[in-house]
Amino acid sequence: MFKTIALRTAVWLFSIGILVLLLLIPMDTEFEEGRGGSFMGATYDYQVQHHVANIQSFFPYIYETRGLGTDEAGHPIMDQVTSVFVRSMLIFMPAILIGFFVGIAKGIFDFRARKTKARLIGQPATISFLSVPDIAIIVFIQLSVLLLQSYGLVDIDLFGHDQIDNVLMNILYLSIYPVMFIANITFKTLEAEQGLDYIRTARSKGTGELKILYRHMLKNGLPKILAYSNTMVLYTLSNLFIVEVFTDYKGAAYYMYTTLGSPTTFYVGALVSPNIISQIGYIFMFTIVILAFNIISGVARSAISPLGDGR
Amino acid sequence: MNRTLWIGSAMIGTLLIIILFGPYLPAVDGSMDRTLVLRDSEGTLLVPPIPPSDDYLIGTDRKGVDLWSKVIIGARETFYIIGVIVAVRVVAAFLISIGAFYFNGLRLLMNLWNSFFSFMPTIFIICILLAIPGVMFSDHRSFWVLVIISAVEVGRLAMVFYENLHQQRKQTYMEAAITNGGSRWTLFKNYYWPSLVKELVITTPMEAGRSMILLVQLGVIGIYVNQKFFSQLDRSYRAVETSDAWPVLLSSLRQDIYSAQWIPLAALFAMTFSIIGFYLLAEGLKKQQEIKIRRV
Repeated sequence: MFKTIALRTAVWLFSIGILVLLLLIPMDTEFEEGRGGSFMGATYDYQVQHHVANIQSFFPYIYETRGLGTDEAGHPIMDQVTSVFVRSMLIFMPAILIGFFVGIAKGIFDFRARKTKARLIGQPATISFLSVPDIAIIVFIQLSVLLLQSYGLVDIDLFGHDQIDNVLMNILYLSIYPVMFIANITFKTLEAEQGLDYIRTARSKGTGELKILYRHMLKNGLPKILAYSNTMVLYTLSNLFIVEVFTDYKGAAYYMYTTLGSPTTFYVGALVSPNIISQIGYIFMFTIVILAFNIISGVARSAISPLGDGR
Repeated sequence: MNRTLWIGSAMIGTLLIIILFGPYLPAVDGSMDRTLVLRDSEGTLLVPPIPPSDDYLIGTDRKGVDLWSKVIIGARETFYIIGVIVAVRVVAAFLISIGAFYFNGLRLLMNLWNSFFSFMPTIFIICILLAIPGVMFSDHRSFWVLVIISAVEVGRLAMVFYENLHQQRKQTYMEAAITNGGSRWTLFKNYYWPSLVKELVITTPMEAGRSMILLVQLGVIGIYVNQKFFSQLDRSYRAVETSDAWPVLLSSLRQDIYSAQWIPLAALFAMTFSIIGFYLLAEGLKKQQEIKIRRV
């Protein structure tokens, strides 16, 4: 277990190193302006020594400021980064938790309903939710809310970040994928466990079906389900990005998108990322979350097969 | 009777017909004229986007182009993009996985590559890479966007192929083949290669579906493959998409939800349809292979 944690932390250090390197790429862009300052084009000329200089000044900066330093207005960047990050986690963590609990419940339902009339809303429904892009579901939910609003039935604020509505709706959007993902994994795990000898033994000894399901199959399958949590977390973080940008929820992913000098807009002369430092802060925070889940899933994996912790 | 395969093939077949004969299909206006103002039967003026009506089957977009024609004609470009992404991914993953299977150094590289990407959500890394000025202002930006979108998933796909080879090696009959004196090349040609091809048949439609989902996501946050920068009033520059591809229809999604729902709905329907088609095709092919094995 210690080895798992050490290995994953090392990989994390490697990843964050590369990301910081990418973010510190110098921005030496020369704009060609036409008449009246119109944009004619831009030339970019990468120079290694500037990159090295950026890196050399970055580490002393972090060391001297004991954190991320202050912005132009004198506010500590670290405080901004954390407060915005907490806002993101406010929708991300509940979505993941709902994903686990509701997902496992849905998986068990799918498994138990697989041979009854209710099976249509079981496994096939899970699969179809997984294959439809989330944004299509989100748009569908929003259109339904707007329709209900036009009849005056509900009153929900769809865009922004300061209302409780926004938080709740975003949790709903974000939790769709984790729920279905975990349900699918749970279903597959239970299906694989079902034919095993110890289940047949338990059944022949007269153990009740429900007891077999929860006490034996689910308990043995849980590490397998946890082992997949890494994929789910990565995908949900990607979704967090989309959902925050789309619904104007001003969390860490939203600010990361805008401070990256979002790939779709720029101003002549003022390029591109004045706030590389805060970007590095966000990246650090997000990768820490991923590392935490990575360790959980790694430990779960080594619990399944103590020797085979290769991946 | 493999129903999944039939439905999947029918859906992808429909798309193929649209891609090949799109401009000649009924009710498609190949010229894609813009309608600036329209007068309805009572004489009131309508400005685009015009809602679905007799003239425009599913309405028009914000420039007044007939949406039905736009979706049908845009299919060709959309699937061209998907095709390039899938081809780059599959070829690169093929080479990497075979290399990693035979050479330890390459395997280490593949694992490192994978672990790096396992710490960054796909969308984040794409945004970071696209914000590098060398990419952003490159003359071949479209090319780089395609390369980046393909590259971020190559590691995962290589792992799938590698896993396949690894499973193959564990088979008992492989030992027999080795003791019978099969050379490295013979083993590869007669055992590993066919098994890879079998995997490839399923993976290709799967990847097409995945890349389509990625294009939808990127479309929502305003990243497209074909973009040009145009001047705005406030001396800023905004990337304007210059293509008819489907994701572009999502560019003003947030306004459209209030005022022109038919635009995103048409785009999302077209893309969801193809994603489900690809997945069903993959599932069906998988089933078909299982049936074949059972018969032998």
